[in-house]
Amino acid sequence: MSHTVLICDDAIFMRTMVGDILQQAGFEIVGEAETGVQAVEKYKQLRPDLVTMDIVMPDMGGIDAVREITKFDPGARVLMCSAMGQQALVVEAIQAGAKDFVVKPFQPSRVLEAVQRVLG
Amino acid sequence: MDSAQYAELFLTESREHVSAINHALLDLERGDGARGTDAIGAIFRSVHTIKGMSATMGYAPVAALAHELETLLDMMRRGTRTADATVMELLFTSADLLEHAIEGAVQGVPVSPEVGVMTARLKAEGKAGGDQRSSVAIQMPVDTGEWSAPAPDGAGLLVRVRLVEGTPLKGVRAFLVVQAARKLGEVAAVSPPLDELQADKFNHDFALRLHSDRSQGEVTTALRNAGDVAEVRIGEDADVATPAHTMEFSVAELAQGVAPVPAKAATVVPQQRSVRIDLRRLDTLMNLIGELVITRGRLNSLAATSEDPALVETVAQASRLVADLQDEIMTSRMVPVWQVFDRFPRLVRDAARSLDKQVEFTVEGKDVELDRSMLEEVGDPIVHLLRNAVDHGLETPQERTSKGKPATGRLLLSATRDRSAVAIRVEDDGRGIDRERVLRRARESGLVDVGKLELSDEELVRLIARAGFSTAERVTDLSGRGVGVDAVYSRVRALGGSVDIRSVKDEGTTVTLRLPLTLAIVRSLLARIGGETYALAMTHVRETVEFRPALLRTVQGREVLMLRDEVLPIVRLRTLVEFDGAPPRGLEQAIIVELSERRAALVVDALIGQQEIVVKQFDAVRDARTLFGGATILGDGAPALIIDVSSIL
Amino acid sequence: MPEARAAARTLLFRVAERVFGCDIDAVREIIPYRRATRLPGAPTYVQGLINLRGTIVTMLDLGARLDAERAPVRDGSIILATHGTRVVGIAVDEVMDVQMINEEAIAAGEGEAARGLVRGLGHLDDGVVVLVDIHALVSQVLL
Repeated sequence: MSHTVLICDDAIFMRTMVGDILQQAGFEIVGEAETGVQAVEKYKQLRPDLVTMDIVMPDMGGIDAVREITKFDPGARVLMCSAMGQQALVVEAIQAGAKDFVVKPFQPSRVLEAVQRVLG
Repeated sequence: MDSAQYAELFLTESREHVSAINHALLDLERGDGARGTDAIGAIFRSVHTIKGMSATMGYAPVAALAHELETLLDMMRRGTRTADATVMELLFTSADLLEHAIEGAVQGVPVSPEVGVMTARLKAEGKAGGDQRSSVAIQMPVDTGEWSAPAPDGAGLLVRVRLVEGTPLKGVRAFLVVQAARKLGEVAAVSPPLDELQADKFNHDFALRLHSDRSQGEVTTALRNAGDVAEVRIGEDADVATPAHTMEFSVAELAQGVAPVPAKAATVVPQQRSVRIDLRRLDTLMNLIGELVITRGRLNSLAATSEDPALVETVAQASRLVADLQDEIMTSRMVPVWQVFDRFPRLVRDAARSLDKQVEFTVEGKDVELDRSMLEEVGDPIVHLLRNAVDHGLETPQERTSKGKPATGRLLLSATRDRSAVAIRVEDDGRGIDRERVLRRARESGLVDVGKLELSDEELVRLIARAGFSTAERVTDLSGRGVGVDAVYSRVRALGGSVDIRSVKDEGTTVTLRLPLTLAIVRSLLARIGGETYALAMTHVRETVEFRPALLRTVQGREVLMLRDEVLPIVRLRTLVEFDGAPPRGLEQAIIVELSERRAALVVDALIGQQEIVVKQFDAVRDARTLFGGATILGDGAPALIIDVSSIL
Repeated sequence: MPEARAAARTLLFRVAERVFGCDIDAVREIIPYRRATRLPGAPTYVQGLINLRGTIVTMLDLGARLDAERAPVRDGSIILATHGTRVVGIAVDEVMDVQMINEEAIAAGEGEAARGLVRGLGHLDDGVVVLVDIHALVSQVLL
């Protein structure tokens, strides 16, 4: 069984890129979300092994979404996707329950490293 | 997915974000309070997304500009900068430059130096506002590559951690390492202190005191697993001054940390991701379905002469399938009009500003869908109409006030759809078209009788739609002289649509464009003159009647058709197409064509029937009649000309 | 310049009793003659529109262009020539051969040259060939 992934990002471009990286590495992309609200809904519905979460999203940001997801499932494995200059937000996300982070621009190897760490 | 496809995706999405930024900027400029805060948040998100995408694509100038813009927006969000006129102008200009840099980056052409200038200017603005992100970089200690963190005082196991050089957001990484240590026991002290660590104020190493009952090996492994850790050293300092074992070690360690990811076969098909189709593929599909529709026509005419019921039934079935397929493909090509409309608010704002006019611009029906190629074609005519409305239609605030109108003019752009057409309306409450002037010009040019004193809306349209007939008094950079409604009119007609104008002095002007849903396939009526076949779009056909002599009347020396209580001018297709063959045998047919409120009876030899036809363009030939809106290919493979109804009314 | 022009590969074809030639590079393909749909208002030497595998192509009658009195071509072949991005059909009675032809400046007084359509003359073993300028022909007809 390959690991299932839910990709949360408001940019199709980013979802496609992360999706391609993970899919090529054998992951199964089971869902995508464009907003924090969607991310929480889809998490509950799909129960993926891994969530990649953008920080800045409309309609509930990534950090609040992590908080909600962790409340629902304390074992949730969330990988934050951040940009340079967001250290405070990433720290907040980790405190909210995210397990690790990657920084844009994404390099496939770094994304996969982080994913492996999160999946432990 | 190859890089070109990423680039296309990047471009599409970035354009949407630039459009969103422009919208939010307009909101910001207008609104205050909560609305303004929302707008800043929206702009911030879009800029942020563009930054992430462009960095990923390696488009450095875009990423740099977006980054500095984001800094300024962040300050606005936190309330340390206000949206004053200077900042607004900076934001508007930045949005334009961002768009320019995005287009340039994708096309691989060098960006204008203005982009760099603006990036620097925004950076300076950011510093002036005391932005923290910029100041972090300045305060950052110089990285010596040595172990530099002092050992924190107190009891517990001394653990030193060095991160991989160039670790992104190393402060956060250090925080993750500390978090990992906390899972093993109690972290008594951290050096430098945690808040400094989080703010990136350290070299690549830090130290902590840990009370834990785990073995040193376990501690080392656990901390390494926090990621980006080059080295973990446990125990009191003996050789701290000695630089660590070098990077080879750390790289090897790192590689070890990454377990090979199971390479799954392509049997795992993601179910919820949609498929993106190249636009060119859609065009090809459309062309193929066009060919198929023609072939269907041919097949149907062959089957009509067959006496094999199985064949007839099969052909009918294939015919229905082709129709379904056509519907599906047409639907997949439909895009909402906002994709083009979204850039108009900014355009109207800029136009109004440059003319010192006040305009309240409203857009309605943004979700109405139109074939992609049609939408692309119709963008320019709409721009033209909007500019005209702002430039010539709407008056200056003073002029409006003196007329007793509100100082701010209203401009409405709306799209509505019915079964087979989309109506796009541009409506202003300005001064209206000056009929006197149009009439005077028309008399001078001999276009109307010198004694003519009044113009109906229909006559008005016909006059101003004539090439070169423009009454603009001033030449402005918005709508130059000589390019008037005639340009719009001919473009829309070429698309198979029609233009309608209503104008009342001092109340305003409404221009309505009616467009078929697609450029490509049109339901048509086929008619015959001698051995020649002509097609007419059904959208313009009201009904057909037998052309009986009893219906003929003569009014003011001209032949007209009396249909019920209606008097219809007669247009003979035979004459129009200069057919000089044998005269028609038997009863002719009249096709009642109509376009807005103009009607006529088009007389043909015979009707063939209705059919879906594929509209094809052909090269314009010298001296040929401008009567045709294209050609189509009939079931027998021969081309037939399509009569442009608006040209005969 | 015309004198210095090297021998060019030329498509030879016949309209009525005369042999013409045109630069083979301008020729895309040759198809059997088919009737065109009349285009009202167009000059008489425009036979009309034909369907070339789904594309509408304008067809000219070279004979009628050079001599309005000549009867239109109703059989034979259509030379499909390219002019920029456009394709134009030229109805001829017969396509004959492809030969290397040396072009000579045209003698003054030839009526056809006045129309700007004839580039020059070429010599064959058994006669003279009139070299037609396809691009000039097309740009005189299409807008």
